[in-house]
Amino acid sequence: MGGEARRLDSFGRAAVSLFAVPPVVFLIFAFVVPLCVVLGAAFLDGGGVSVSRYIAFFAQEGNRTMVLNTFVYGVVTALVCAALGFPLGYAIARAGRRMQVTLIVLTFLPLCTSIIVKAFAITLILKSNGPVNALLLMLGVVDEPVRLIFTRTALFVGSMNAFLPFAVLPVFAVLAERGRDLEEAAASLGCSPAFTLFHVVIPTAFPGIVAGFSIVAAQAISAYVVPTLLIGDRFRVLARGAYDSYVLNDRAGAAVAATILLALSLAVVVCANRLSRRAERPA
Amino acid sequence: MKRRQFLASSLAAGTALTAPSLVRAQAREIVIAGPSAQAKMFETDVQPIIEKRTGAKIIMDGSISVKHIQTLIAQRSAPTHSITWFPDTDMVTAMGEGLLAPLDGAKIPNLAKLLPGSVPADKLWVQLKVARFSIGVNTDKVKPPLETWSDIWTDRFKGKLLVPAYALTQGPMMMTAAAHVETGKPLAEAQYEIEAAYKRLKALKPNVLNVFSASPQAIMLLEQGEAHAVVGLFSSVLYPRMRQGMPIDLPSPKDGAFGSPNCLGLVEKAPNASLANAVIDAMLDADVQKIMMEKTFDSPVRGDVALDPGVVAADKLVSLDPIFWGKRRPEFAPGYAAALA
Amino acid sequence: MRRKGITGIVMAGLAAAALIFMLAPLALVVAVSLSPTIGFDLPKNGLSLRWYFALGPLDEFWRALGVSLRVAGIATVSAVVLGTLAALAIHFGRFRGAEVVRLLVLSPLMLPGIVKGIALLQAARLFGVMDSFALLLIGHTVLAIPFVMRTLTASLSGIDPAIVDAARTLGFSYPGAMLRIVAPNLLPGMFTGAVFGFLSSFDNYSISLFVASVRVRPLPIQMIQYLDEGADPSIAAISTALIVLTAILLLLADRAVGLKRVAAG
Repeated sequence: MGGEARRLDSFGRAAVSLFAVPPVVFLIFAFVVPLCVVLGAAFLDGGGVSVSRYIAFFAQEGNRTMVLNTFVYGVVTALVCAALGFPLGYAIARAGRRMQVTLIVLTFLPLCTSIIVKAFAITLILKSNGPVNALLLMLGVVDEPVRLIFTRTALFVGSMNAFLPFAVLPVFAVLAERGRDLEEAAASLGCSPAFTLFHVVIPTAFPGIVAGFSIVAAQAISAYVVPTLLIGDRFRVLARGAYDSYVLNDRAGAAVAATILLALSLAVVVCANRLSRRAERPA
Repeated sequence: MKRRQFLASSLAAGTALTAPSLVRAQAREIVIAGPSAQAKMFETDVQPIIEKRTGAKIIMDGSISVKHIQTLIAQRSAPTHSITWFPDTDMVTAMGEGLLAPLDGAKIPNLAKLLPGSVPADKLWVQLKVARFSIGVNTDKVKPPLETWSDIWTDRFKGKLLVPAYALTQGPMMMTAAAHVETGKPLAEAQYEIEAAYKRLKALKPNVLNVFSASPQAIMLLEQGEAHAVVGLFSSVLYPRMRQGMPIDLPSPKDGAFGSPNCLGLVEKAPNASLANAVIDAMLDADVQKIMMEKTFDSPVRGDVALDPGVVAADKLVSLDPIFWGKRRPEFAPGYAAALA
Repeated sequence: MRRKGITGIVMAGLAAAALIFMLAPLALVVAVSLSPTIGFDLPKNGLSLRWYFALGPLDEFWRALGVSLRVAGIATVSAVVLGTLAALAIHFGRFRGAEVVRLLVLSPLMLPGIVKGIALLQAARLFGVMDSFALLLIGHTVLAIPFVMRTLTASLSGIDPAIVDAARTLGFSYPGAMLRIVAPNLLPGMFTGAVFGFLSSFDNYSISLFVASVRVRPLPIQMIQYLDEGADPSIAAISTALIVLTAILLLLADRAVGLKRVAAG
């Protein structure tokens, strides 16, 4: 009997595997094929297939800086968002019901404001006679207004602000259903809250934290609007390089920048997934 | 609901919703690929006159040039648009892609009545009007007023200057201004002095608050006094705001202001081509030119339109060589970015 | 409440700080929308509602809002279906290349909008689809699927696939077991992914830029046009209106289907 059940189960599992067919077919036609049409230009040079465009790309110092900038920008933004998003996501998952709804709504609200309008607002907050400078002056931290707009501080703080909700709610989604019993058990066994946090809550929430990290990293690495409005050409990123190439009608150049960006993003996400699995297994 | 049912019904809903939006080339319909910043002005003040005069039903598709050019390329064999309305450097790109059909003086009689130089590039496009690009200033902060281009290199603008990103239409103008200050040559001649431009741009770095890509953001910072001057603003956006009390102005330096021609072109294989010719012709009529000047403060391309105060004659503005910049512009992008980085 | 200790206080403090940090720019946007002058700045010399009244007669604004809501709505529903299928297959399925599928489904987030937009435009010609609304739907569905799939795989991560087998021995059919055990765990992730997808579609500019037509213009395209015509507080007024609208919609959704139930399970 056991053998039959197992056979049925493996049949069931094979059937579940087939669920992947509709989304994959859809994405192949709606995303992969269009992308190949556009990005193929990167590998064509002088009538043949070659990597000469990549060699030329990396020969320029400005481009190498651009790749490094993109990497640092994406990873740092995603790390900080994941770190800041976890406490809020946890708080939402454990809040009372009324409070929970309120917190969820408040976390979604920033996402319904256009990123452009938000970037304008961030510029207002950071300008020399804006609230942040007023606060710094009042506290005596500085004697005269400091320039904050179009600095790396502005870029990173603003980007974290823009992407943070994406790191909060996956944590909530994971913890909403899980971990409560374990936390209570740990507490009743006399574990300290700190011990429970590090040995129960964080391991349970980890897949959500990694999901938030991946969603933010993927979006930050490919972001164009936020870096453009918050820092501009002082800190060029690959998305901007691709955009400018299109504006100057250099489609192959844009394809080169975009493929490098994609590779970078895939590498970061794959690493995050590996890390996540390694963290999950021994636990 | 079953999945298939759901998909079917959502598809049906999609079709029902989209049915009225299918774009079919109507018999008398002319779609213009033009700048979004001027779409409203055109629809309110110009379109009714042109429609009445030509019998065309005009649809203004306002967007950015990169979108228009990519769309025209994708729809090369069966375009939706009949007319392009671009800055001249983008016309060169369109020309390079073979998207433009030559204009015919016999079908557009107004071509003969324009200022000299208005129909360049073997008649592949015609200038519609010339926007004046200059240095936008905050009048509370910039006292005494700016006089020449070299003023923006002085200490009074330390950390308070916004300069355009190279990919903007204004980028090559910033290059040219730098070359002009470096070499002392007039703007029109200085535009070819690329190395001199890089050199002078490097010297501008202490003054640069930022290299901007979004003009609305630059204007916002100028109005707030966060930036004292912005290189590469134009009158059609700045003047209406100035008249509503914003402390800003757009003076022309003594050594010259730039002109950026807005041009019209006929799309290759354009739907309703003969009607499109009539529309282009009507937009060059003297009264239409006058209306557009009043609304945008851009310079008309006809000599027989009396100029409003604040509007500079098109032939007094320095327009860059569209062929040189249209063809070689991508080459200088890394140097520009490196000089200001 | 149970004892929380210093850890609880620190966590609550961090959560509150994160929330305030996220909402600060919105407060600014609301303030700017009340400015009496044409500049995009904090109001000086009094408040005014002129930018809200200016929205009323803007036909194209309401039309664009309608387009955006329809596109985002249909794209989100499609993305929830496709994204859920993908997540279930990745987590419970037994096939080689699950990791590849996971990356494939996430990859639309990994490219700049302009590349996705131009790719879709070129492919449209290739496949002979020229209808703007259909293209917007396709593009926005592609954009929304990753959010659904990624939050769902995270939500599912705690469920041991073997538990389904255990339920089978209790007499449930395979789909029945999946439904019983998996469904409650799916809801929060599905909801989160769906809202992410909806709002990303609603705020999308660069894909829409390339496939929108004159007649089918989503709201962000229209807003950029307003911005190009001059950055006045009307874009702040639109944003504020959307903030209020979203809050009302989410609270109504709560009343109707019980966000609480979805959220707390």
